[in-house]
Amino acid sequence: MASYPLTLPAGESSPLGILTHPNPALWILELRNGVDNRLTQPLLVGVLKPALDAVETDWRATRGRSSNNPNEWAPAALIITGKLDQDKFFSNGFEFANIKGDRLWFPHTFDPIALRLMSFPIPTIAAINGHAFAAGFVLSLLCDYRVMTSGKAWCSMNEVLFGAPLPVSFVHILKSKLPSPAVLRACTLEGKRFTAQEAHALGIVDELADGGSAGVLSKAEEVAKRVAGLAKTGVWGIMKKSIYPDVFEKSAGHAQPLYPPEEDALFRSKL
Amino acid sequence: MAMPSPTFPFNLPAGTSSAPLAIVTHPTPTLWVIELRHGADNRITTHLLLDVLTPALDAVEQDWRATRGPEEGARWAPGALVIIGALDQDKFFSNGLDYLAAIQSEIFFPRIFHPVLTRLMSFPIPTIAALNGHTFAGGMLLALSCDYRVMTSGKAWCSMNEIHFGAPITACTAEILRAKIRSPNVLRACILEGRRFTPQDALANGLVDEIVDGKSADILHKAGEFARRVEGCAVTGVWGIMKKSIYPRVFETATEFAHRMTPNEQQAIFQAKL
Repeated sequence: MASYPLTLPAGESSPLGILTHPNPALWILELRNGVDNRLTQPLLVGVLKPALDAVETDWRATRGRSSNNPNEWAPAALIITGKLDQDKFFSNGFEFANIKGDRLWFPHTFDPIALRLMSFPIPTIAAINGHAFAAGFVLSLLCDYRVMTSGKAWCSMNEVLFGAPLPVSFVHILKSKLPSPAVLRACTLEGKRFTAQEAHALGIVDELADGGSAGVLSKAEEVAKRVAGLAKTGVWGIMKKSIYPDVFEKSAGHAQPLYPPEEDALFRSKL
Repeated sequence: MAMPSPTFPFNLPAGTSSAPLAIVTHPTPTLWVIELRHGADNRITTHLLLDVLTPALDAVEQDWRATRGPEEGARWAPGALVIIGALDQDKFFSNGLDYLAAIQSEIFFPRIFHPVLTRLMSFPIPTIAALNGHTFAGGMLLALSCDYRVMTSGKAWCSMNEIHFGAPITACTAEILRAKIRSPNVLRACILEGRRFTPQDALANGLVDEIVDGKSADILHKAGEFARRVEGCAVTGVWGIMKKSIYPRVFETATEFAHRMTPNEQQAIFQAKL
């Protein structure tokens, strides 16, 4: 079992993320990357991926431990939240410098982690404790449930406003989770900023919570408690792959052949 | 070679005189009814699918197709099919598959169950599932494969409870659910949470089209009224063809391997990588 709290990246003195396990049925991942939680390479690869590994490893080890049914796993849920000592941001998405000119960012860096989260075998709850823009909003949609602050915070896909086309994975994630063509249009084509109240009214967000980040986390914990039992039969993630097939089939990851210098760099980076 | 015209009413399996598993009737020139009567809770078994539902659908389709006029460009008669649970009770529409038996056969889903569901999904005349009682799992899939659903307002639930007993749904049945439940939040509640919808919940969430007070006979009666409203859509003969166009993934996934992955397999793969 991992040792909690788990600070990530491993060995860093100022962690970009902290994973806690406050009770047997709950994990909480607090993302802490700078002012507005940009989803950078170190955050995705050094925090999110190892956090998911730790949670899944420890949860899978619970199988058969319940006296009720030796074939079942423990109830469990994972909350992902922004920095808890502030109330302004959940995540503002990618650093533009990271993705500009890096044609492998989506197929090799972002998509694999995104798809892992979208099909995670236990219920996931995004505790949206502030603004959620672009990839930050997508991060929240990758989760099964969304709890958002009732305070001043927006969700939006603002790519249309700065002239970036949507990556294939984003398209299918949005189409899988947004409630209607009209909302999809407003969100992607118009770059609409949804207030928390609008997002809630439209069903994009499941619950609103007062009281800043602490209130959002507390509400997320209520949701987690309600849904954790659904993990027991071990089909939660498998079901998600069946009901959101386009995300898994159509994201471009497998379609990008590497150029030799890229393959070289990729190999060296793993050494 | 032309088949002899079916004569209604008739029992299925063919030749059964007492305790048939279904009775197929043709109460009006434009309405056919399949009443499923398989034990207490209408389990959808291989026997029911192959020896009852398939010949029943064959008979209805044959009878309707024979209504087409002889001239060039002729139309067919209006028509609709109602499928209902046993009429002498009010507790069940169908409790779904005999799941343990189903998973013991590699061919059950791709060769026996999916073909009946996809037959209904593309049936050439409007189909109305008259839910005269509990509608669970495979029973709900049967209901969703129909074009319309009319449900008792009484004490009955519909649910996809596979999550609660750990059955990963097949790709094809997932596509039926995705085709008929377009709201992500309702899809989540139905499949991931295995929520039990009361008739009122089902109506509010678009899972059924109408709820009906009374007993099975009343539900059948209402389903017949519903059928009269939609039967005219059959006359140009494109109803089923249209459905194949608007629900393509259901048909594309019908013969795929039964399950994407079982929980045991997923656990083994994950732990092997550690």
